[in-house]
Formats: sequence, structure tokens, C-alpha cells
Amino acid sequence: MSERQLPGFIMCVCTGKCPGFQAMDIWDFINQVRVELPVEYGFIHPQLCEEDGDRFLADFLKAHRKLIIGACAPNMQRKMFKQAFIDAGLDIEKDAVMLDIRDMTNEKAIEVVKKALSDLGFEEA
Amino acid sequence: MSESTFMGVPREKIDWSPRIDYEKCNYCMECVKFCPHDVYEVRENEDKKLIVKNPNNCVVFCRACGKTCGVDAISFPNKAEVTNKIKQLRMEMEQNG
Ligand code: SF4
Ligand code: SF4
Ligand code: SF4
Repeated sequence: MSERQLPGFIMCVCTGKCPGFQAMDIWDFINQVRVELPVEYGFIHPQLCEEDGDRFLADFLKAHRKLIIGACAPNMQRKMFKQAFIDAGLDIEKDAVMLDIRDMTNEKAIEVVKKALSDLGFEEA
Repeated sequence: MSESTFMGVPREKIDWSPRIDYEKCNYCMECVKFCPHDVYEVRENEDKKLIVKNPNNCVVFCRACGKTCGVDAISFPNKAEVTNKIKQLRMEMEQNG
């Protein structure tokens, strides 16, 4: 492979109001991901599977960068985001890694993201 | 202070939760498996083996479990109507506040 472009990280938090993220300090988590882990950037989207999430993905995926999405069940994410990836000329299986980080503490969720990055060949500096 | 708000109004005043069409539901429990928010309750020994127990735990505007349902037995309220209701409630609260 010629260039190793770091992946982007989107965390989806179910509007930020859901009990699934109660065990986590989402701000500490996203800050740790974006500052410490080998990602190009990290940010929080409130509800990727809503209509504005579709519109956001339609715009955002044009950048053609590999994405890690930390949200809910991967099979569900696959269903919900598949079309957006196809529309952008991408393949959700190859161009995204989908993680379920619900009902986790920060420590646990960070481990899950680190492992995904390391599986992609990116280790912490 | 209200326990939990959404877009500035108390969550319990917002009518958003899944509706199960019992004519269609085959109790595969995919929806229950997906949702981590304790919205549903499984009732093994009853006719309706699945009920919406805690509607206010449902994330407003989420429809994700509906997408897990193979037979399309889950529906949700009309989003535009719910949005209008939220705006109206917020206005009332501002006037009374
Ligand atoms: S994509 Fe998943 S985590 Fe994000 S709002 Fe939808 S159900 Fe919640
Ligand atoms: S709509 Fe979302 S939050 Fe509500 S019951 Fe379904 S999965 Fe749970
Ligand atoms: S996913 Fe659909 S069919 Fe399965 S239990 Fe839920 S409502 Fe019923």
C-alpha cells in the first residue's frame, strides 16, 4: 500500500439522551480518541440513523476516507448506512468499521476502538 | 427541574415509542435484542409475548429497532407532528416560565 491515510472516527450517541451511553463520559471518550489514538479526527454525531444523518453522510462520505463508526449494533448500522456508502461509491464492508460501544465504560470503549485500529494496522504512537 | 428533557421539554411529554402490530409480529425478539434501553418487555407466558413497557426510555426519533424487524411490525409516530408538539410545548413553557 502506498499511503496510509488515518481513518476518521464518528461516534454516534443516540441523541445523547439515551441510557445506552450512561456508563460513559462521552466527552472524555471522544477527546481521548481524537487526541490519543491514531485517527485523523474524531467527533460526535447525535443521531446518524435519522434523516439529517443520511444527509450528513451523503456529504461527508465524498471525502472517501476510511471510517470507524462507534455506535450501536453493527448489523443494524450496516442496514442503515449501506445506501449512503453505495451512493458515495464506497463499500461499507471495506470502507467502514462498525463498532458497538453501547453500555460500556470509557475504558472498555477505548479498548474496543484501539483494537479496531490495531486490526487496521494502526498502533498508538 | 425535569429528570430528562429532549429539545428543551420533559421527555415524558413527548409521545415517541415503537408501536407493535400484533397481527404481524412473530415474536422473533430481534427488536428486543437490538435495543439496550429497556423499552420492551418480554412476557413469555402471555398472549402478547412482547410489550412496550417503558415508552419514555425510547430515544426520541430513533427507529432503529423497526429496521431490525423482518416483518415490518414496528411503526412510529409521525415525526413532523411530534416536532410540532415539541415546539408548542416549549412555547407554552416559555410563556408560563
Ligand atoms: S445509529 Fe445507532 S447509535 Fe446512532 S442514533 Fe441510530 S441507533 Fe443510535
Ligand atoms: S426506537 Fe430505538 S430507542 Fe426506541 S425502542 Fe427502538 S431501538 Fe430502542
Ligand atoms: S422484530 Fe418484529 S417480529 Fe420480531 S419481535 Fe420485534 S416486532 Fe415482533
